[in-house]
Amino acid sequence: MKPAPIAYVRPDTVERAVGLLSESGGEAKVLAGGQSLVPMLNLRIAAFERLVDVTGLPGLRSASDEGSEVRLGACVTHERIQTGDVPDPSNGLMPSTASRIAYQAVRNRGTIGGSLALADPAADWLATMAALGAAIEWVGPDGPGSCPAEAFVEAAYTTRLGLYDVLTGIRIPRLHPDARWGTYKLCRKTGEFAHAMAIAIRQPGGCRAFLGATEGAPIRLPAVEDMLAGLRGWDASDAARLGEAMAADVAAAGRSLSDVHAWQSRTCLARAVAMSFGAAPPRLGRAA
Amino acid sequence: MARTASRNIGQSIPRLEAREKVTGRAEYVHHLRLPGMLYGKIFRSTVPHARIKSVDVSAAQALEGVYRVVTIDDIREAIPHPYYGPAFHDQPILADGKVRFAGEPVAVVLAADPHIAQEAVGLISAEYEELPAVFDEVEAMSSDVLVHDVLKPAATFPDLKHLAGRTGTNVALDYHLLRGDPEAGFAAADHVFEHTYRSQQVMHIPMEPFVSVADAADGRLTLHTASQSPSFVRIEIARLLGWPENRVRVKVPYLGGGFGGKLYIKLEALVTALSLVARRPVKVALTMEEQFFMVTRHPCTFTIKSGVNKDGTIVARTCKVVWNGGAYADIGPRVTQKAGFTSAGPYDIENVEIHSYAVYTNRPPCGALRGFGAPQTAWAYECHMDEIAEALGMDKVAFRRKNLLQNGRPQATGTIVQDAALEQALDQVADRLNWNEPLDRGDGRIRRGRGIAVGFKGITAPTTSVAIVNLYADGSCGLYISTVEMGQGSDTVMAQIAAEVLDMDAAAIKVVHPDTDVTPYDMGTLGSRSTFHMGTAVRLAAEDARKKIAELARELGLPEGSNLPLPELFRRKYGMQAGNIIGTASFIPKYEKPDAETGHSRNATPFWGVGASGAEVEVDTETGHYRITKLVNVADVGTALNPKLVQVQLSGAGIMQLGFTTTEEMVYRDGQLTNGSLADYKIPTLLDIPPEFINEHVDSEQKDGPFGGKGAGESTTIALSPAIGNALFDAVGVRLTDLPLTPEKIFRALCEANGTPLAGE
Ligand SMILES: Cc1cc2nc3c(=O)[nH]c(=O)nc-3n(C[C@H](O)[C@H](O)[C@H](O)COP(=O)(O)OP(=O)(O)OC[C@H]3O[C@@H](n4cnc5c(N)ncnc54)[C@H](O)[C@@H]3O)c2cc1C
Repeated sequence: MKPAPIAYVRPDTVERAVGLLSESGGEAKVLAGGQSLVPMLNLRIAAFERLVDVTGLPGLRSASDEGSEVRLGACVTHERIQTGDVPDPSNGLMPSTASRIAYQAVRNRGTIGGSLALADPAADWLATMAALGAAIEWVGPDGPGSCPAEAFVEAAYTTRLGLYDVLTGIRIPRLHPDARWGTYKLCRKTGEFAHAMAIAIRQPGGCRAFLGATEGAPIRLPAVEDMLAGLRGWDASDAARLGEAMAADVAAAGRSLSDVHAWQSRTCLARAVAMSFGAAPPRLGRAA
Repeated sequence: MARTASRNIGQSIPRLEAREKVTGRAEYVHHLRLPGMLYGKIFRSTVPHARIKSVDVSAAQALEGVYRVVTIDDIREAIPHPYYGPAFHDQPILADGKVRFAGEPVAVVLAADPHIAQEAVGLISAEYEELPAVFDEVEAMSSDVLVHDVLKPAATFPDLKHLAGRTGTNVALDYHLLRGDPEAGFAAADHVFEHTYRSQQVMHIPMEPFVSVADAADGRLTLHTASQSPSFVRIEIARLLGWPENRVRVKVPYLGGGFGGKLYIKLEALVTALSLVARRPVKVALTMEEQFFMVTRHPCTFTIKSGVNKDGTIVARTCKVVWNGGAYADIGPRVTQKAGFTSAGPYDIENVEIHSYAVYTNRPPCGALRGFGAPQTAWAYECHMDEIAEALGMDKVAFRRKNLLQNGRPQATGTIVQDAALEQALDQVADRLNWNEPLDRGDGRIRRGRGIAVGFKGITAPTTSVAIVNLYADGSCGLYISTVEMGQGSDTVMAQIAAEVLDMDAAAIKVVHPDTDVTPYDMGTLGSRSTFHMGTAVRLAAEDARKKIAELARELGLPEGSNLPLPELFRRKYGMQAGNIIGTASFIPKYEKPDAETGHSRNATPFWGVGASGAEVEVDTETGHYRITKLVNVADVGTALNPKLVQVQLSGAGIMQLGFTTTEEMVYRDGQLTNGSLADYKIPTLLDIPPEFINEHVDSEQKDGPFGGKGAGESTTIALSPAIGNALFDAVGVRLTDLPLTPEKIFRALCEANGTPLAGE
């Protein structure tokens, strides 16, 4: 199907964009890379009178290295992160993550800001930004706002962004040079969203561990983080203890995972942790 | 095999329509706009089984731009008995007092603007009195919930006559076969094995969704429709209207894929009724998502039992196959019978009993889909074969080879098998898999395995094809056939056959597309039948034309073999560039319908479709995720009339079946389809194709086929799923019985095998 007729504007200031959105009373929608929004319009799951294209707003496509952190404009594409066209604060975690999002065609247009704003629970950037301790910035009718990525998602497809807010950028603190990370996700098919996902970062001064691809916000795993801080190496026999810590964290967060999903998450987590110790996770279809 | 070189047969002649297609000029019904045409958009039921208390169309009717809203009451004015179907006249053009599946068409909005029509659909509401519903085929066999009060078989199927008027059942057809004495066979056998396997509901997903345009005026009707069976559409629409066939004209341009979905009657009855009611041309074009409610493939539960001796000889086999036909029978009864009679597999077994049942349920209707039931039956019998071989400790290929049907031996029906290269296909797959070499089985978390399977299918019979070869006065040639070019390359192959007889270049022949006012009868482009049936008709028609050329030469007093060019013959006969030579022929293969009691037939099928597959897989034992690293399909297509076209048929069918094996499944909650969109229902893309993907045909010949050829469109669908299921077992030792083969199922089975079963959902 094709979308219903729709007006399109590409404002050149953030204020104008916010103004257009608030004037519309909810009938206008932000358009970034269009990789999620346009299919929804085509399927007519969503209908709006006007699209406000934010890719022309000043600063939304730029990136700056500010020493202790990197700021990415909301409209930086997955592709630019993948290829190193923007500074990487993450010792390679972000380019690696970007390279595993969907297909190249989607990465060419899809943006990090669009991905966060949409907040599909299985999206890669939700868990990755939370794990990196990033902050999300926006501008709305009440002026600028910001919050830690970890607190950005309230539920599936629901974020702290108000109806008329434009996500403008993401500030990502630089990982310690000695930081080691691991990430693993399970997709049934090439280019499909993940069914389970985990990220582990070990660094001096605090480990981070998150599960993604849950039914809602990424789940932070404090007990796992404590365990990581004490680990000196990875042994397969640690998996049971890791699994228990994860289960306790999930329960403490007031969340639950179905049985297969819990096991898949646990495996992803164990592989992410092992990877942070330098053990390449098993990959299908490479060896033969 | 060395064959004399020909400029047509055995040559990979480029598709005649290639240029048209790649330049976007090919004609499809979706492009068609007639003056004054209205668009119909469908309001569908939201409940799976209910009595309709009321349908409120007033708000829709009041929307500006809406021409009219139509329900079954309006349709009755034009068509007093608005029920249709190829096997049973059970399907109402719009819901008639009852709905039988969620998604069934209840009303249609007509408007000059399709978007207005769509908006108005959203303003219709219906009140239902919900009825208990039945979704599972096995439950439906004995359920109190009845989908239809009375069975209404069509008169066109003599073997369904005995079902007319039957009440109190969901069983739309039962087919039985008995050969020898299976009970005695089991009693004498060293081992008896019994297993049950299930196949899921899937959909065809043609790139071109269903679309039909009807233009009824002055007691005549023209249908432009994306149909695989224009001749059947004409006959069935004429029956519905009570008109002679010559007042119904059915035209089919190119199809953007059919796969069995666009057969018999689909939207044609609806657009005809709408055009008669509105007195305007009407177009109905489904969305991709609506296709899930049109026609699908039968889910199937198959219990198979075998008696086997220590040496590996199968001595007895019984098959109970239950086909979930959904709410309307469509061609399901034929699937039940055709896939039923081969459900014991391509093996030489002395004692066989088969019971195959088509049952109604409250799901979207199921019909023909590439393979016509053979993939579902092979999923069962080929997994079963592996389980037996495993238990006996025999090599899986050797066990099959020992029992394989050889040419000259009777199949379960009693039909003597001919030109079925079963063993060749099996051996070629084994060879490509290096079956006799050890496999690196992996260790730790990643395990490897390989599997093999072979299967066959009978071909729908008896069916007729008629062809006309028209030689024009300048010597050029038009080929008039109702075979539908739907991407399979039929135009090219038919032109090659005619060209071979007429000693021309295939590319010089114009193939005239189906138009029932112009092209002669053909039963339908379905079930791998066109190359064999229409191909033979074309060959005979071209030979008829040649004979007439020779007669003309004789009439003109030319010496035998004078070889005067055709235009010159016409000039001598008519004094100018004028006239035609018309060669015609019809073809219906030999066939004996199965005995109602024993299922026996001396001629059960015009030919055998044969396919064997092999797969190598890698499984991640910690997650159940797997990857097919190598996939081999080998088919017997007789002589490959056009090797390139054969190749793409084999790979295309393989990729389609790969989706049906790994990801595709229509998922329901309370009778509601929950994944009826390609965003959720995942089909394979290029990146899902195994890194080693080999598709080949064996060197064989169908002796009574046109230039040795036979059908190629379905062969690689047959054995692919069990090859993968068997490979997974080989890799990790767990047996999945239900398609599709998802990582979750594998993981669950692995946990169970390890003695740590998961809690369940
Ligand atoms: C086939 C396919 C597979 C995919 N697989 C993955 C995957 O594996 N992992 C993954 O993470 N993602 C995946 N995606 C999603 C992809 O990453 C999208 O690009 C992304 O989710 C949305 O980004 P976008 O720039 O295209 O946003 P759009 O589609 O333009 O917008 C998405 C939503 O966000 C809102 N929005 C966008 N930008 C802003 C902003 N600056 N401020 C406020 N609101 C905004 C829009 O209004 C809209 O509601 C996949 C997409 C496709 C089509």
